Amino acid sequence: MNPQKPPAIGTLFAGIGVALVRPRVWLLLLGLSLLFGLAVATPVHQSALEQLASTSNFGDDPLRSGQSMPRWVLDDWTRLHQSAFAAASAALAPLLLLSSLLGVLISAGWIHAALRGREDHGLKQFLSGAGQHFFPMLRLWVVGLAFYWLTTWLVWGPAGDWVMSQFFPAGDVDRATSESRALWGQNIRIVFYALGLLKIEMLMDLARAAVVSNGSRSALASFLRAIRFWIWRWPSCFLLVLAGLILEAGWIALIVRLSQILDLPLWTLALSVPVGRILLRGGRTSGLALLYHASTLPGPKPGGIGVHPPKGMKGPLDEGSAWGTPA
Amino acid sequence: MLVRSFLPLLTWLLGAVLLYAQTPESLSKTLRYSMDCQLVDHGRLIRGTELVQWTNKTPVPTKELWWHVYNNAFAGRDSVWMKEAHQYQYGDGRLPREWGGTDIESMQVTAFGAQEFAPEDLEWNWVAQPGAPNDQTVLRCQLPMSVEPGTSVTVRVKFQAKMVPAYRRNGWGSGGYLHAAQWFPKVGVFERVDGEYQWNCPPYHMLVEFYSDYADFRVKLTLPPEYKDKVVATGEQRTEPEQLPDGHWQYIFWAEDVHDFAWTVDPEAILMELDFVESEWRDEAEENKVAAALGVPVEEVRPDVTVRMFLLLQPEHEHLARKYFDALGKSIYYFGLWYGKYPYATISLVDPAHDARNTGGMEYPRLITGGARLGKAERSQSPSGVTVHEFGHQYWYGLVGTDEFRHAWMDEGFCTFSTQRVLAKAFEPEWSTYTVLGKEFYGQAPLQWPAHGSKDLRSLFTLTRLESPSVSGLPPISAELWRPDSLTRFLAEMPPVSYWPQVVDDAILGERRAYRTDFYQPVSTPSLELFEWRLRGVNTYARPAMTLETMARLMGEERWIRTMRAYHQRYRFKHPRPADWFEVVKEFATGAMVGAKNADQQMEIHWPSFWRQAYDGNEVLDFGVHRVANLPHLIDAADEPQRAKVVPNQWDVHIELRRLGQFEVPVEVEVNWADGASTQHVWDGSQSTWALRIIGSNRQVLQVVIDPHRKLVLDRNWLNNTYTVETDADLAFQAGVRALLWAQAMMHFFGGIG
Repeated sequence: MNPQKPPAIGTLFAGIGVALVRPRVWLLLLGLSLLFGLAVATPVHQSALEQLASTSNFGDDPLRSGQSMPRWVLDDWTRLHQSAFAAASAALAPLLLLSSLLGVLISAGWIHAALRGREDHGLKQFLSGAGQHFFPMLRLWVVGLAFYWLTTWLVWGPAGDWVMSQFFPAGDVDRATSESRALWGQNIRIVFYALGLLKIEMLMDLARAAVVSNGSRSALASFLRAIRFWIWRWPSCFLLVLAGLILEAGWIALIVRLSQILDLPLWTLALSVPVGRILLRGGRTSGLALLYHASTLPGPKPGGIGVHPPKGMKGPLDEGSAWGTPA
Repeated sequence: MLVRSFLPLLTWLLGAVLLYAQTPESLSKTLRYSMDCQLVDHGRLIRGTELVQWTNKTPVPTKELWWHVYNNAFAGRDSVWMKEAHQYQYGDGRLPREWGGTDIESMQVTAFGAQEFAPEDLEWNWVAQPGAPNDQTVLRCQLPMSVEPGTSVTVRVKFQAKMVPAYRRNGWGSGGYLHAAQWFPKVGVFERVDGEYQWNCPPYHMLVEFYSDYADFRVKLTLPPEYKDKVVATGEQRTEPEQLPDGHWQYIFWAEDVHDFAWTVDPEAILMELDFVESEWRDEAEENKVAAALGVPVEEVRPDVTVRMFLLLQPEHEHLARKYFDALGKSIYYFGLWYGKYPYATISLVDPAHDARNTGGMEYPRLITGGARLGKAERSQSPSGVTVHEFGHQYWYGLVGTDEFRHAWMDEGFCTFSTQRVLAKAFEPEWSTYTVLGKEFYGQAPLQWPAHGSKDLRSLFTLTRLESPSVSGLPPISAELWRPDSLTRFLAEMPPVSYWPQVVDDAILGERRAYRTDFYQPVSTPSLELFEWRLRGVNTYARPAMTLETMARLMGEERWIRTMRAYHQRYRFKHPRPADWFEVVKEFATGAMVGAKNADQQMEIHWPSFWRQAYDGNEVLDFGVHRVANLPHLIDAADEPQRAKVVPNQWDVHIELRRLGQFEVPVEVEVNWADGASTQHVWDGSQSTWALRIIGSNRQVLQVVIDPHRKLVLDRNWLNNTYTVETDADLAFQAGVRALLWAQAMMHFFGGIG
């Protein structure tokens, strides 16, 4: 482990920079987001055309603003056009799996761009990097599923139930004598679970970075490297990811507020929200990869040059970074 | 010391003697109870003795007394209740943590009419029920002689009621909370049923509630010291509580003209009191409307009653006291204004302990249980909704004592209808919410979460589960990969962006949610014969409420006010049947017309036909616009006989409507024209179609609205009631974009796309 500790926030911004200078990538992703989203939205839109468009005079706040809706209209509509809603829901389910798998590809692209192709901002380089690392990362995705299962099992399974039973009769929050106590118990469990998922997500990103950074093809070895790295540098990882999530939440809040103040049409959210989230997620992934890579660069050997990155490639910091230029 | 030991007994005996003095007035009551009870075992066991005087008000003698001993529903799995709970999978099949039950230690007759004699043990037995031969919720005792019409019998019962951990409607919580309902042996109703006089005393069923005769109660409760001033009950205290030498406290509650007695204690709760002051909730416009409809001065309908409101509240819900009292005050006001003044001196409201929530949302005479949760949004009708509803039962169940076994809709339906009216009149409409970490926020998802349960291979699509198909020789895989709890769902769906932010729930129209359930059994079907538990909610609550709302809107507010008032006043302290209600409807609603004054015609509503379809039948009510068209008006071209010529500024207007259900009722139709005019029409609804065709009209039709004033709440599909020629694609676009935003958020959460 390199004793050099790159600053987490600076690395995050470096990662965001990696994403920001690749507009062709994020525009493509935005396009995909719209395209996939339309598979869900189209049946709903069509159904609304048939059921609502010729109907007005609801006598309540109109739908036009996209803000307010009489509940009975929603109820009648969803009930009477169940098939459209079922179709939309059914369309989404495989898209979620597809998103997850595409997410692997995209992560590979971002990490490759951050670690091995800083100068080339083109789509081709992004996609070729993504393709180059896709299969090890796919194996990693499968390994990740096991860890998701483990986390879920720990928190919601017998282990979590045992912990709850130490505080509540039979582990049942409904049997707490106080509602506040029950809420606390329940919420702590939920937050703990969310943190567990976040940790797995970080480990996955670190393992992906390890795949690219070390040129490894072994998912398990990369995952173990990620765990090792996490143990040493978890505050930095956590800070970086947390800062990234805060930025993302801030972006969403800003856009929503702006659209209210400026009375922007609803469809503008379908462009502005995802674009920011794609960028910031790309930034987080790239930032974490940069952090991993910079921290695992071997220190200078006496009389020699560092062996990393392999195969004579340029290191990610060779062109300079937020925390300085290597000697 | 001896005197002191016997003092409570002597006091009780004196009370009992006073209560049972055989005066003509006392005989006018069917039932009188005098009880002496003690709470022991940390609030989980009640030891009691009751002296019950029953007067035979029928023209036939009887040698039996039948009793409800409903606490035995939870004495074991053999009861009718528990068997039904298993059948309907109540609580996902969960059984009570501990069994309860009532032991009858002795049952003695002490008097026949004015003739008292030495207590004599009675023979009694549990009445076996079909399918549950060991049920012990109905007890039959043999009397040594007949109780002749107009005479009475007095029986003393010594019992011990072990209460269950709150399971359903009664029971205890671990902090000492106890909701004592159905806790004492209670006499059934001797009346004419199915053409003959018999005991109407069914066992305790899961799907239905209670039915008893009106009675006077005097109940002495001896409570451990920690329960001092932590008790509410049916009835009021007329003497100060007294502390006994052993530190226990003795309370005496009196209640007249009620058909049940319940009480609740909780050492950890706060007991609050507030006097109902009518002027604080006064609604002058409504008062004037009611007075005008009844043709009486406003002062006569104004519910200026003296009622003390008690609230037994959980300390962590102290901030909700205002909401509870407000809901109670508004209920006393509006129910009193519409149906007649609340006749009792007190009303008690219980906010159940957290681990005894299953006792919440219940009604007993002069005592109701509500229910509240922390983290509720301001625009939520909690706990107001449940409070208004349970108070409503003081009128529909308490004062009008319908038979909940056979006609559960008569109390729940009327109560739901009245509740929604109070909520609509006196409360802000509720907004839909979602919950994150126990706190509610406004919004509603545009689409349903694509959830698939275990054993469903599709759950892998949402990465929630990994399920393998059944392959012989291989062990099945079933693993939960991810659980969408409230926080992760929030992160996945990003509601501030993707949800409908403001979904406004009209209290009355909210009942239309019941249409999600298929109404395949008529309202008249006894609850016990319903195929599904879910249908009980529909047929007993929402559907009758919508029927009543439809009737009210069809007959107009004036007639409706008179109808409801008359029905309530006539059957106060009585046991009406559905036919009684319908007689009142016929009396007051006959002559009600459909059609505005400027309509092309008006049509009288045939109430027997309406009632037959809405109550006995299972007809679907649905009117819809089939086609609206402004076709060019053609005439033969003079110069070319084979060709038609379009006449400028003239159209052939075709308006075609359909009755898509079988329910026939007259309905109004409004046609809005391009020149700004609006014409009103009435369709009698008897044919399956209706058409309005104007050939060569000099105006185009813009919009057709069936039932423009939304009177037919029973119409299953309101969206097809309106057709606008120039469609408004904006509405559809907004809905589509909402779905798009939601899908994008989900896909971003899953993989960074979106």
